[in-house]
Amino acid sequence: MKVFLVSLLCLIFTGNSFAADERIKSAEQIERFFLDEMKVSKPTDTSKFYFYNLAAREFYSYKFYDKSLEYYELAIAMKVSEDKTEAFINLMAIEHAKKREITKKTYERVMKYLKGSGKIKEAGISRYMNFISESFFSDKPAKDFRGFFGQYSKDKSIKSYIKNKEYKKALSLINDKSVYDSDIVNRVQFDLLRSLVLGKAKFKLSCKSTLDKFPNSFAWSMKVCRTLVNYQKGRTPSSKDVSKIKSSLKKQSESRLYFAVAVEDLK
Amino acid sequence: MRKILKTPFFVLVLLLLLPLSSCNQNLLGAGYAVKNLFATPFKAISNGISNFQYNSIAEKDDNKKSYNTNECWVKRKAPLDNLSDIEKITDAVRGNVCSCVPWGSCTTAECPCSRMCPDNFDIFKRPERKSLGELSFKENSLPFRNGGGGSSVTTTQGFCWGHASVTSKFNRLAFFKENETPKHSLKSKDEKEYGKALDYYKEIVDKIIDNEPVNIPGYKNLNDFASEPGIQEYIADQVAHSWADRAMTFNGIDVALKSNPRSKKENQKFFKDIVKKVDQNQQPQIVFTGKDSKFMTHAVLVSHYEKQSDGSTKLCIRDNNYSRTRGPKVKCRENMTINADGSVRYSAWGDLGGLNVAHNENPDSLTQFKNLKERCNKEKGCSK
Repeated sequence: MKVFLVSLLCLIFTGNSFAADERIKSAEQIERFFLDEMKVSKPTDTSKFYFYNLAAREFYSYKFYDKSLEYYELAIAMKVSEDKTEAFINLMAIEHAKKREITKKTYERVMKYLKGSGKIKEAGISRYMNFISESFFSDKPAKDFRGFFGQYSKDKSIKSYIKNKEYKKALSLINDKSVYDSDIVNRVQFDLLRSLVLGKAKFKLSCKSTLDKFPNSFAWSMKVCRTLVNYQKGRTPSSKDVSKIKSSLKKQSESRLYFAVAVEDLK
Repeated sequence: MRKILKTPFFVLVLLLLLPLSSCNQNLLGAGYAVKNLFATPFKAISNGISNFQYNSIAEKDDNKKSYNTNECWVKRKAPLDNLSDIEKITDAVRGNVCSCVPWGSCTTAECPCSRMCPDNFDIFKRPERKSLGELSFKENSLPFRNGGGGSSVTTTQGFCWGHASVTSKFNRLAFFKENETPKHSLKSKDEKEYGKALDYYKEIVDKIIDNEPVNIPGYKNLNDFASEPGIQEYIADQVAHSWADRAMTFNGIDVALKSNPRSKKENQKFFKDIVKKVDQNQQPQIVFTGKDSKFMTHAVLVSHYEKQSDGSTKLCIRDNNYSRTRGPKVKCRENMTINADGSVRYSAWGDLGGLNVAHNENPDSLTQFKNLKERCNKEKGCSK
């Protein structure tokens, strides 16, 4: 035990740097330290299960996603009768935090546990899994936008409708009462959709106030906004205009290239 | 749980917890994790995770010696002795006084490091700010509001949790240096230079999101910085990501499912904990659910608090569903109070069900504390 405490104190008071490699080194040191001690202490399987869950949760809080995943897998592998819902659900959360996506394989693995354990019958769990399924695996855009997870589903649906050139449907999902105080992407998206639906009709562009403030900005959003201002003046975007927007999107926000395709549809 | 308490591992854990107050953030995380071994995971989640490490720093704050604000200004050595009138003039003209406060302008010869880089949550204070409530001003807020609220037909809760988290991180960690020339400028008339500037500032935003303190040259405040279209888009993405990283976890679901009002005792303790955080220079993130309305969940910052004439506390809420672009600077328009029956009422929502400090609040605060302290020590020459 003395050796253990001395080691701990050395570990605690060495180094204040937060460089990434040091962060990882420290995490590994602590982890090894705990695991070694667990071997000595021989806690029950149930205690081990809770420890793994707790360690995983804490690693997640500090963005050590790989470590978090490792510990949730250890918790899942334990042959105990305890509820493993947290571990399974957070497998998806970790995947999303790391890659901004959830694989079907992980989703199905989680669903298998939830069905087997009967947890899927709980309304909250069922609603959450439905949200994941609709947002990540459904061919059709989500339709349930209520509450806590609603905005995520809604954003995904709007994007999906724009990609499918269903501009009216996309526009119908936007709350026009709140869009003017919203961020620039939401405002440009709203203005672009209205322009696509209403044609060259004149209406107040929500992006215009920002364009007035940053008239020379090279941001893709401002290029789209400038194009919309000109469109209201009767000028249909040329292929050169579209190409410039596409080029900016590739450099600044490649995942939003579909905006350039929509601009091309302004006739 | 009793079984756990009897294991030698429990003894080990107790020993472990004692010296953790000076550890780095990885150890904070691990210590924090081990601390939670005492709690039954699922049942404890909704109550927030009691944080030994956080409390150990909070206690330092409780124990600190209160000091008179007059003492915060230290007179620098006068260039001319015995000429008090001239001294007064030079004090005024040449700034011959320095501020002996957290992040103040004194040197270590003029003011102790313990005052300039305190080892408690005073590290969140800034000399230019008179009160914590000033953080809720428009200039210290994002120029766009959360996407939630509005029409009842299309209402969602937006990315409130992400909005609150990102705002709080900027308020605590960003050092705006309006007069410093940035490495690359977004005002450039050359598109290639603009591209470089965008990458440069995106890296700065990333650091903030990772809880690192950072200078932001060329901008006077958060509103100014986040108004830049390219930056605004990137920050909005971070708001959405931060929301997902919190809300899509099991803890997130757990929060959304708690819709029954808590007991009077629990709510009184919650208010007390929040007041303590505010007193310790933090605008904490709180999450709540409407009474009997599962998944109708929102996350906001507590701006400050007001004491009522009857002695009760009113928590003033910085709600990201309301724009900071209009109206008076700091008021307590959106607020929470405890009803006579012990339930909590939010002026903008009515009676609430579940109500908690966000589960990411303490881990983030701890990491920010350590990183700010490290920066301050380096900047002021207190790294020993």
